[in-house]
Amino acid sequence: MKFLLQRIAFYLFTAWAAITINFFIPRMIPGDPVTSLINKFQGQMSTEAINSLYVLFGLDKNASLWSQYVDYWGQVFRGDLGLSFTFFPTPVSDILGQSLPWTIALVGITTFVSFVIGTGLGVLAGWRRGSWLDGLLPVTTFLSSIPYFWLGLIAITLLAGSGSFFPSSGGYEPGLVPSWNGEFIGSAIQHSLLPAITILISSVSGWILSMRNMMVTVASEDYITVAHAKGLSERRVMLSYAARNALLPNVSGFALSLGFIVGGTLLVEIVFSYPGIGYNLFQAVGAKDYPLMQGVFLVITISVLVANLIADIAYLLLDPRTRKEG
Amino acid sequence: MKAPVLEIKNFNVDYGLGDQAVRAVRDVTLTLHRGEVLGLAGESGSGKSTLAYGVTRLLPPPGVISGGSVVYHPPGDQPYDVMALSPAELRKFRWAETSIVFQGAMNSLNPVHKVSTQMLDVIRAHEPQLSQEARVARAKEMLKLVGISADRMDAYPHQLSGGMRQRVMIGMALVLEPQIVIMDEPTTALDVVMQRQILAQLVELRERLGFSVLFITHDLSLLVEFSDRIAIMYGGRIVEEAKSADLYKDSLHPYSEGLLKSFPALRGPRRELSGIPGSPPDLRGMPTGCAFHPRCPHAFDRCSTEIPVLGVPEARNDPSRSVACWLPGRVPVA
Repeated sequence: MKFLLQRIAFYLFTAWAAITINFFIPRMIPGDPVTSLINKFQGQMSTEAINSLYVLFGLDKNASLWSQYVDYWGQVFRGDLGLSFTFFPTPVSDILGQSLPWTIALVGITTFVSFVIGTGLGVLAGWRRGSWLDGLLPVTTFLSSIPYFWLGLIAITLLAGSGSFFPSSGGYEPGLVPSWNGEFIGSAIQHSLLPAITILISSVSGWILSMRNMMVTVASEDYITVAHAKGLSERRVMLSYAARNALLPNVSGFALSLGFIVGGTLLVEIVFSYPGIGYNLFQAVGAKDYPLMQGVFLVITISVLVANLIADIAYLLLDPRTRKEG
Repeated sequence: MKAPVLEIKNFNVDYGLGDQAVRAVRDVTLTLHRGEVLGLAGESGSGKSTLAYGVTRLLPPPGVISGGSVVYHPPGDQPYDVMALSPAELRKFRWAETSIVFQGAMNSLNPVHKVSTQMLDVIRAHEPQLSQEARVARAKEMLKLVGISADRMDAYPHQLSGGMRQRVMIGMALVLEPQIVIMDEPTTALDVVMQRQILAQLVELRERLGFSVLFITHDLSLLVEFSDRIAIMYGGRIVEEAKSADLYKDSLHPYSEGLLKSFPALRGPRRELSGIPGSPPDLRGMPTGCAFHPRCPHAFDRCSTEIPVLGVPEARNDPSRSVACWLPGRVPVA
């Protein structure tokens, strides 16, 4: 318990540092968002309007850096991340609220499925070393070495296009209104298949390889021999003795990859024009949309930290040796 | 003579296949009798552990059993060959009839499961009809027998000391009350005081539960004290077999003699410690004839050409002992 509190304190500190950096970076970049917004409106703005924009973006020249910083924290806690330029005057939090579910649904589910399939195959490949399952390894390694965006582009070229079952872009059929009905969900699933399959292909081999290698290492441990000598069934030895122990590094790897769900999807979402958070970031960079960028960075930071915390907790639950008594 | 419980006959184990194979155990014939402690001693690489893994069919690849039989005599039932058992029958045989305490006391327990989980799963696998309470009671009783208090059931292995872990392993080995317990250097990783305590306890438990022990070690001084009979292995073969006292007082094979001279006697007159010159043979290129002849102080011509046969020595004419040596008086009676 003490260990967990220590970890939480550490993550809170890291979160503070990340948010502070997030505050300072846009202020240190030459030029400021208001100037670029003014350019966007091509000077058709009054001086009052410009001043109120500065205040709105928390860049009030009359306020000290310290009071801006305090205000910024107040905004973060209220969930107010400012207004986006690209989608002016929509608040950044609304945009993130719209795109985050798409990213989490697509990449989150795919990451989970990839982990389960990869780990399962890895357990079998490691346990039945030298069987046909070992032939799987070079194939999956080859597939995972293909650059991701290229795989996506090839998939679009070969499989998508007019008349094909797979749509080449977007998260759902244009014209449909997002809601929880069968037609919309069906369309969303249809649109997510191609990106999901490409993510799966490029990520599954990592899980297979690491799980297989851990299985091979664990299989030569004395307690595995003891488990065999005890006359336990093959299944029980494989799952409860070998896989249970070999799983540990993979579980922390999985928790960490949860953190990259949000941050690591940029290429997928660009290639498939998927309405997720990575695509938001891409648009924000293109349009010098500082508040949106800040918002995306904040979400990425927090998700990485939360994932790390989950990894720590998972380890505590799975490996009794990491638990400290007292 | 007591009834046999395990008869190992002409047992051979190779590592690898074909011409490249290393013959780790050659033509070993050894009988374990009911209720006795049979010691198996030899240098590292002499094939002692390989033999133990072989008879329980636990050899990891590339180990291959290339011949021989291991006949088990269940109490009040027909004997059967362990080598001929199907995988399902073998699983039933393991632990319920023959359990093993392994060399690595520290790593024999799975670090992520509680002691109780690891003791209960073996009972569940072999006696599924037993209720959970009965299983727990049995496990607790066994732990108490080996001197571990019942509240340690919920401990994880890393919370126990090395000695405690080995006691848990011994308790686990006895939990199904097997006929045979194979001990593969069970005390090597422990300090001498702990070694002694555990062995004394083992002897006591054996008297109470009546199992037989195949005790494998390189520490001949331990065996002299704790075992009824001793077999000495060298280069994958048994070179001498005798009652402990006979072997200690009057060893016949020069190798046994060398082993006995390499540790000090606790009682009795002082002896010169000499050890054995040279190093254990390379199993890939065994010397011709008697494997020990390059290191043997008494070797003569015949030793380097003919492999000596294990048999009752001429000079002693005592059926309880046998030796494989060409020296005068030790040649087997025809």
